[in-house]
Amino acid sequence: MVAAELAALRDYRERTERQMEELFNTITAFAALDYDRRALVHDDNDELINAMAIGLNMMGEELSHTMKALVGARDEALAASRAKSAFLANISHELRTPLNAIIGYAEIIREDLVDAGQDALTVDVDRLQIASRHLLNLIQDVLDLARIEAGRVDVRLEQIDLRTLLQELQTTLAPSVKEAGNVLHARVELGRPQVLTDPLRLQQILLNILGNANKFTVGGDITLSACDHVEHGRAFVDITVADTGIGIPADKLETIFDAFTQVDDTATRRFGGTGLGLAISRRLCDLLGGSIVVSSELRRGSTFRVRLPVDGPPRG
Amino acid sequence: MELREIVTRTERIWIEDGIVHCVVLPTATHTLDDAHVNSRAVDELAEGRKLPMLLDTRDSRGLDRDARLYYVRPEAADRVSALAMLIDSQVGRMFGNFYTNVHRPPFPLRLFNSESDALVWLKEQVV
Repeated sequence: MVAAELAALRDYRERTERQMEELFNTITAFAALDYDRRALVHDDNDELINAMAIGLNMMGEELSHTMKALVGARDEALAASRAKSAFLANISHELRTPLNAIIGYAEIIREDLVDAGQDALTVDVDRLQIASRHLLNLIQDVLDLARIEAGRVDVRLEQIDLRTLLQELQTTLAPSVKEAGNVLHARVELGRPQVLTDPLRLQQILLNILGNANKFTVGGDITLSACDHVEHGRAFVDITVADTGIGIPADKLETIFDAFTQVDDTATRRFGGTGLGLAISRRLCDLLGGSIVVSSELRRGSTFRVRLPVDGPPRG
Repeated sequence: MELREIVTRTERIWIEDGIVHCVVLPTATHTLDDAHVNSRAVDELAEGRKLPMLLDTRDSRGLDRDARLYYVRPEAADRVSALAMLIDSQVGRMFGNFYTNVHRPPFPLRLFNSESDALVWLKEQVV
């Protein structure tokens, strides 16, 4: 009698262990994102174990369905984004071509007016050229962003002397900095100025940040600095642009790198621009294997830091 | 009066006092085909009437996603005026939670531990 009860208990324990293992294997499969596995429901299972198996199966089906729907939605969104970027890239090219003709012919008209002794009339042609160049810059920004998002931007890496590149930038910006009544300081403290990067893209990033610093600072200081940085044994350079301008509200710091974003709409109207510059800069930094961050205090100024790997972006 | 009953692969179905009774059998996992067969059986017994339903899933062996969605499709509201589910078992609670939180049916749903309480509520739902 006792032996029979013990045998029945042993059977029960073995059966329960098998059933629990079945549930465990299903949960393990779900944990590995395999939602197509189903737990078996047996007549001789405990009711609780069957309930868990049925519940797991329903959960797996719902997760599988939701996951497939999400992947499908993501693929559709990516395809739509690529189509949009391709369209923008094409349309921007179509816009630039006639605009370049307008700028070119305006230059010819200006020269003809000067030759004809009609200097007073050149003011209107100058306005035409300024407006056209502004429009061209805006289109260039849209084109750049579209090309980056469409994955059509190639990075051309070469060994550059960062010190030289920063000096050239200072020279380029000197007239506009002076015009805004600002002073540009430079502090370059690099042990080894050689960096493997794309000089044109780096210039584009830094010109954008320096241009913004100059745009949002009046009669203040802009400091361009560079120094070495080591992180997890890897060598980087930190290039920092600090200004004493209007600053950025804390709640806007997260969004200023988003496309078409300025601190507020009134800033776009007051200071001009498309709101694409920082979005382009961040994406270019990503392509160069680096990062860009900002810290700021309202009415005290902003500091942008670009961090780039000395030995170029990771390969592959 | 003798009650007419239809037994399918997965359910025993009959109508009593204007209420459709469906007892899910512990025979197999419900598939979409089973859902079609069961719905046709309800239609046949109800003869076009829109009736409240008492559903007993306590011994169910589960139903797949297509079947679950079929039972809560919008057109189901043309045939069922209200649904009372018996959930005084672990499997019953599983289905009750599912239909309450994941795919709500297009008609009033209440969960009951007691069949008599469920019948009282369902009688109030007779259209």
